[in-house]
Amino acid sequence: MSLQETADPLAKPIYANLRRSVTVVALIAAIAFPFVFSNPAVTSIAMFTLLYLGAASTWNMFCGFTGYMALGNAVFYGSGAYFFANLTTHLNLNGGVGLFALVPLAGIFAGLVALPVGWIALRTRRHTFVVITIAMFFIFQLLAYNLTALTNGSAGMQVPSPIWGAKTYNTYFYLASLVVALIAIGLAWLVRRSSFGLELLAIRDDEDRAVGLGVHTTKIKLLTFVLTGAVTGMCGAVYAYYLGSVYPPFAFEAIFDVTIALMAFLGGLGTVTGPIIGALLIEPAQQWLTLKFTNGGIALIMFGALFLIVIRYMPEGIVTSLAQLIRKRMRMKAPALADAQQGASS
Amino acid sequence: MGTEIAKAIVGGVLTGGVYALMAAGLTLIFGVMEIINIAQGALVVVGAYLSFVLQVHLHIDPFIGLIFTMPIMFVLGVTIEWGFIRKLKTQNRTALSILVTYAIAIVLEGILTMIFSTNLKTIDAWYVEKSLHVFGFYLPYVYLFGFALAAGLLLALYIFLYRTRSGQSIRAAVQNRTGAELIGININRVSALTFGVGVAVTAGGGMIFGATNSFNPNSSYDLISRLLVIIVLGGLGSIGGSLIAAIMALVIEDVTAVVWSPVWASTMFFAVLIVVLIVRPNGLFGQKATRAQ
Amino acid sequence: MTAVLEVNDIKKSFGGLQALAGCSFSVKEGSITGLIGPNGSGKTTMFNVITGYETSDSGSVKFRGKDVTGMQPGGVCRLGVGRTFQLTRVFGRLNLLENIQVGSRGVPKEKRKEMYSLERRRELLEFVGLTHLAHEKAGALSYGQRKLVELATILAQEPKVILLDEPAGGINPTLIGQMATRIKELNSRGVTFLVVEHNMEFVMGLCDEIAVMERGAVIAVGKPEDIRNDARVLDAYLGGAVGDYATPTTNSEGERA
Repeated sequence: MSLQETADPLAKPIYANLRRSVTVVALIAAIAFPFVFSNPAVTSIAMFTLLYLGAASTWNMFCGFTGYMALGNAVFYGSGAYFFANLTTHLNLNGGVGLFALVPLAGIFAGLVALPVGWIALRTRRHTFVVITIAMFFIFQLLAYNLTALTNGSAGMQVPSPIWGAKTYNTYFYLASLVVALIAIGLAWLVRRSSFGLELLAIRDDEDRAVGLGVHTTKIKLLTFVLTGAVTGMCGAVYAYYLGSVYPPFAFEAIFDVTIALMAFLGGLGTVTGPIIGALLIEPAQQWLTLKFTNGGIALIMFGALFLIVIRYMPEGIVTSLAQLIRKRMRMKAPALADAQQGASS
Repeated sequence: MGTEIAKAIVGGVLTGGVYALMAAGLTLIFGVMEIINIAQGALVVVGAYLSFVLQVHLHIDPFIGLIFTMPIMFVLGVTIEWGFIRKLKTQNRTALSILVTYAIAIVLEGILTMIFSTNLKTIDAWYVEKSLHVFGFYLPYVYLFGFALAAGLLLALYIFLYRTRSGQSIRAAVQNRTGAELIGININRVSALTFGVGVAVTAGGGMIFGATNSFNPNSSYDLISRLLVIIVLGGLGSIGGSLIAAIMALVIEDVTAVVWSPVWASTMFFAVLIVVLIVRPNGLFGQKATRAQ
Repeated sequence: MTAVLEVNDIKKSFGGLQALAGCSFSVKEGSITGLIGPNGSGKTTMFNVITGYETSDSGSVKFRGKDVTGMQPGGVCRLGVGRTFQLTRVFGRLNLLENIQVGSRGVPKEKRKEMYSLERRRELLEFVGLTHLAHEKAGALSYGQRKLVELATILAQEPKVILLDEPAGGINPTLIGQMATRIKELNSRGVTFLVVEHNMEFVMGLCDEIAVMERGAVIAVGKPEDIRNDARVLDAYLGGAVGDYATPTTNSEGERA
């Protein structure tokens, strides 16, 4: 069931074609990127951007659509990372392209972790939900430090390093991140177009009424939450492989969730393209800031200030605000046309 | 083992009281404004640094320093409310408030890092190293004083809420925001007041925290995580609930450290929340969820 | 006529307040039944209990002979009972077609594909006269228009019984007339209605039968003319004075009787 049939000025065939061509061009550009810009510093930033892009897109798929604010997705990021490290270590595997096949397994594991976490968290009101996700984050971070049998505690775990040369090292990871990011975006897009996604949005607007109309809110919330966990876990696995090691404070990083939330907000909560824009803007900026300012304080202040500015002046996000602006302009320009499109009133 | 456990319980109660004070402010803010102030942890640390500065540079005793730090924190709280919280549109308020206060916490952390760097500090005073020797227990004076302070401030808070007009306005707003507005209560003023009070108590909490722990700007994360657990455990909006929850959680944590291992004690702290929420999704004293509106 | 909805001795209290004190009445299949009473008599609470939004302390609710007491709202809706709310509820950020689509969820699986279809949704929009606003966000509509959207959404489930909570509240007289027309139209297609309303002209002109509630219990049931003149009803509303309620001069269409 397509929701694209609409008298929305932005949905005219010309714009649909435009969107399609932009997508294709962007895809080609993304694939070609590491071959054109082969400087490892650049591809490294690009890789992290893609990972965060994926994590933000999938975060938005749950939080943006349902309106529940989850601030503990680092749980799944870290779970995916540690699963990957554990599996590769225990199976005594060697680095190489083949290990990427384990990334989806890490995703499945993270999804399984999301099942009980989501079940507990989603039984509560929205306010409590946020707190539980935050509490879960701290629990998992503590478990990472304490379950030394599984995680080696603060000593961290090593992941087998692939033997690719320094020149092409990043390229493989970049492409793997691209795949994960595309999965995240693709999934979000599919959900958005489906009636499933519509029900999620209904939950955001008036959950009790949705329940009253027969929507299986608990099931679809949990399902979406698990999917989000799984994709986030895959991001964590790629990250672990890239870094070559997994440590508790980095696998379970407090600022991870605020970062992906900011990306989704900046870009446009509840849209598919929003988190993409947000990640493209924020992640390179964040990487640059950490390199430039050794005193962590300034980076934090700027990051926090940016967040405050975005929420204060553009809470809808760039994509949504822009779309609203364009629609307004177009309706003002051709009111007669708009009336004709909408048909006779009854 | 018995004395160890008894000591742990006493210690848990004493520290629980202090956490209860900080959590009371947080749950009060939620009760009135339906927002969760993630910056509370960072504000506690600010309070700690304020007391630290007064003590190190002006040689003012931390307890006496509260005369200065509490009003400062009150003003800070009102400023935050007026500057950032009030401007939030009502749609999706709670979610946005979480992100806004999280951002404020990050900014505060950044400012503190710039001024004080990440070196650990601690607040010093004659009573920090000494203990009261009673019944074979050594009760550190600082914890006793801290608990007394917490008890005193909570009592003051109670009197304020139940015996003064402003306090009544706040309680009316907690019960029914629209109703309160309709009978002429200025919600903006009440919100600012609540936020101010909620933050002012962090001055007291921060001072004791700083005296009993070494701290740096990063301490805010651990603090806010604990405070959030406490207010949810006690039931959002219930000050009495957060008091009981704080003591309960801290006692369980301290006893776990003795009975099982210190390593698992902190995990236990959070695990208690999960266990309680499985049984009572709205916390110990939270309102029972109605089926639907 | 059989009773499609039977409410038997429902009691419900909130803390110290007894909202429903042994309330009983039945709704005949195919009728438009009114539920009136002064403010605070428990009408909306009764709706909430029937549709599962509140649980009763005691008593039973039967829908077509099947006991639905205490059933969850989703289950009640799936049995074919739809309801609107006193404060109109729509999915504000979804457009009208999407709002109706969410309503189709309550339909049994076999019929769902047909109910989801665009034509079906347009049909419903046309029925409420909002086709020209199909792609507008529901939140941008006027209050009266939102009421119609709310109605269209529950119609998507082809309910056999519809409970309307103050359908004529807060909208202009023209729209009230249209609302009444639509209710009659649906009723002629076999839908039973239970209507809570304060607008007496609307109720008297529309309903076949009226039940009157006061302080949580039904005090009178009967045809509009009888209720109009019933002493107990007048007493409940006016404290004894015989006012204009005794003989309205216009019916719900705004036409002279």
